[in-house]
Amino acid sequence: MKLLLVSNVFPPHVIGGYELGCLMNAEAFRRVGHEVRIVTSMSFDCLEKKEFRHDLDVRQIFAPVYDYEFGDRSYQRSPDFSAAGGVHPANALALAEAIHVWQPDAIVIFNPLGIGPVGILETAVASGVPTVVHLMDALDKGVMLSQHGFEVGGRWAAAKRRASAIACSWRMLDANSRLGRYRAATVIPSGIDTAAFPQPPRPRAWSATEPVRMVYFGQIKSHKGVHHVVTALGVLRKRMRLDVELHLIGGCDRAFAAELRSLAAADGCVEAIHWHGQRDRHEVQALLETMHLAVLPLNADEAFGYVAPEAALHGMCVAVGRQAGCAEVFPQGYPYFLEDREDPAAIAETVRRIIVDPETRRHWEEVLPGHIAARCDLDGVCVPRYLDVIQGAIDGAADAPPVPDHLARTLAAWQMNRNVGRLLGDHGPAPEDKSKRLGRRLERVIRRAMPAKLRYRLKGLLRAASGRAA
Amino acid sequence: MTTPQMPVAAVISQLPLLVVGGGERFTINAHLSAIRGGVPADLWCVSHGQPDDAPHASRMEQPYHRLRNDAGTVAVVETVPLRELLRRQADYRIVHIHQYLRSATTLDMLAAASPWQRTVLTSHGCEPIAELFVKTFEGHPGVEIIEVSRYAAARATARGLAASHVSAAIWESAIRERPARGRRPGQLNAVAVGRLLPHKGFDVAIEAVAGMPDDVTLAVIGPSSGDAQYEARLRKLAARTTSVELTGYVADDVREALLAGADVLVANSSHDDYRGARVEQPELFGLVILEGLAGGLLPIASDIPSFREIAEEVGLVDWLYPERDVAALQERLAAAAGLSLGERQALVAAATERMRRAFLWDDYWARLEGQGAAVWPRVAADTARDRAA
Repeated sequence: MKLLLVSNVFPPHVIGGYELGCLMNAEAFRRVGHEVRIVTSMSFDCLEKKEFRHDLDVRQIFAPVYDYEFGDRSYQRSPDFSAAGGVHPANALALAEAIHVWQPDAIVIFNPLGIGPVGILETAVASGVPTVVHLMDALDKGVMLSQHGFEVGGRWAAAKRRASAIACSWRMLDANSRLGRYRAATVIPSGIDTAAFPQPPRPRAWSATEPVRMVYFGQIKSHKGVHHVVTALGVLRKRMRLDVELHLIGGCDRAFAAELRSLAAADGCVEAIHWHGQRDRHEVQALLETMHLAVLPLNADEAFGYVAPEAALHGMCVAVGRQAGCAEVFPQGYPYFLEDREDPAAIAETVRRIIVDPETRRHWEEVLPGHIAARCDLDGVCVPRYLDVIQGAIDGAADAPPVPDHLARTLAAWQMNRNVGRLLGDHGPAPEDKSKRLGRRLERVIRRAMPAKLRYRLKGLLRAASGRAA
Repeated sequence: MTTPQMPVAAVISQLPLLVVGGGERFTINAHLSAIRGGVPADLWCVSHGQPDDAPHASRMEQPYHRLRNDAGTVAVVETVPLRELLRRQADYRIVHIHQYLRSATTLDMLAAASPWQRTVLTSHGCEPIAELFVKTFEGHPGVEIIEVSRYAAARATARGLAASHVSAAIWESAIRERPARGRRPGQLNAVAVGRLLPHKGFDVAIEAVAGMPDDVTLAVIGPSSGDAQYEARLRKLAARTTSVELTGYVADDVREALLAGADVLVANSSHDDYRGARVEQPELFGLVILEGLAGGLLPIASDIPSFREIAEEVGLVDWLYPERDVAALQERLAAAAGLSLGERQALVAAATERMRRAFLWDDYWARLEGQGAAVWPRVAADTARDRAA
């Protein structure tokens, strides 16, 4: 099959798991003999990560996705506001041309936010080429939040009804059902290249004389809950009297690192934290081999969270947030879920149970790798299922025949919207609510002035004041 | 148990439908035509007027009613802001927007239309955003302007908006055979129906009848328009003769009785009124002529484009008279009075038969769909499939 993959950003330019998922799928499709082409945007060098270089057929046909490098949600403040959740005519034209030139058998859309998602999905579906959307983010939310100066949520829903979808978790499928449903939707966990992991996993070398090495790896950011792990480390060492070290592997900005150090200093456990910094994949694998257990308090916004199943594939027990998408691939009755990932005492208690109950721990160390591999093995399990869905979309193509003039319609509708905005002077995002602006300013002042521990206690209050979702 | 069908069409009025005039009645009947033709359709209307060019944020909050349509009597089922209506709008395969030149929200609806949707625009003469629309509208194959008459379509085309037309005025069930009534030779009862507006030319009809023998009478049936000066003028003219009666607003049954007792209907709309003030389009259509014909009356109408269009269609061009020409109207009235009952009935019967071909509500929706079938075969096919189901 000729598969055209669409992604707003594509490796070596990386924001998070969505791009890596697209890369892994593209390589896996090619391994089983399919022809793959990726169409993506012109990306900023600051997003480039050398470890994700590849030799895939990539065409940077879309306009740049603005401002991603300034942090989460920033694309919503893009100067080209219609790109965030509406129609970007140049990108719709570019995609239509790419489809026309290459004549793919199917289109697989990964993250379309920031490149005019409604125009992209409409163009793909209206081309008559079977289209599958790979859901690893709450796209409906992204579209709904970005309807400024236009209202095309209904068009997004109408296009969805004509496309198939693969969601990486049930939670993600639910989050993507807010603006209508896809014609057909299947949950397939994100695939992991299990061949890259030791098989069978080497048993953990627990020793009564050495400290327990607890690892957190991935992006070291507040929304990943790392600060709760640092606080939990203090509880484990001071209150539970357990000799535990915390190993942090991943990139972290200076300000947040200082906050974590401040938190650790308050609990007297600065020496127990080992900073490994950003490492390439092989180095991370090697480091994980030396760890005893992993703590990953991922939150409900985590579409999947590769890190938790990856840690499990290393033969480690993982204390993992129950709300994260990846929790769905852990077994029923798994005892180390973090029900409240924001409660350091509960995190510490879960870790304590892993440490003090070797029998249960060994059971899960043995069971987890096989269980995860049976669900997440990219080549053996996931790719065949992905291809089944794509084939199903091809078989049902008659239900979504091409609309020959869809580009004319798309461009005319976009132009009309611009014309009205220009003549009535009401174009562009609505001015931000002043109370929210004040809340954000207050948040910044407090972030600088208040000790981290107290600040996290007030986090819920601050978020309510700033109007940001938890 | 049967599953309720999802509506495939929406009829949206940019004017409230709870106060009914000619345009509003057209919208309600268009919706009934879809329903009775087997096309599940929703009826929507704006809840109240708003500035024609309100800013985007305010337009998005404009409330719209979804209405139940019980044989022409409408009632509100739910009310949602435009933002919500636009989201739901993409669910319909056909969206028919009436009074589209009333509000800038029409452009929001066009921008929110999906590629799988056909949008039909129809004006009924309320056109405050005509200039804005011409400046902003981008034509494409998914949207068609289908006006209520050839004349209305020509007006749109003159603005640079390509348009066609599909007309309708009468349900088959409303066409009545009139019982034969004996009349003295030269006796003629005429009626003129409509709101008492200067451009409707009731004064011309009164003057004409006042100058004719007493056997020719006229009943002017219609509610006040609020134009006190014009109504005073009509009263003054009518006071000069015993042959003219101004009924004012009357209940439906009285109206029916007055029409049943009449022989001809006079429609006198004109571009210039009694003061010489100019009206750009006195009538977009000629509903009153066709209603008169359906009631078995011979219509005598002023020669304005929309009336001529109907007269040509039903074969009654000879009964047109030059607008505001009292003598010419008297001549037509005298000619009608000179017809035997049989001759008049034959004229009306032939015209009614021709009316059935072009002006019935019963097949209006099918004709509307057929108008775009060449461009939108899939929409037409889907709708046909739904209808069959």
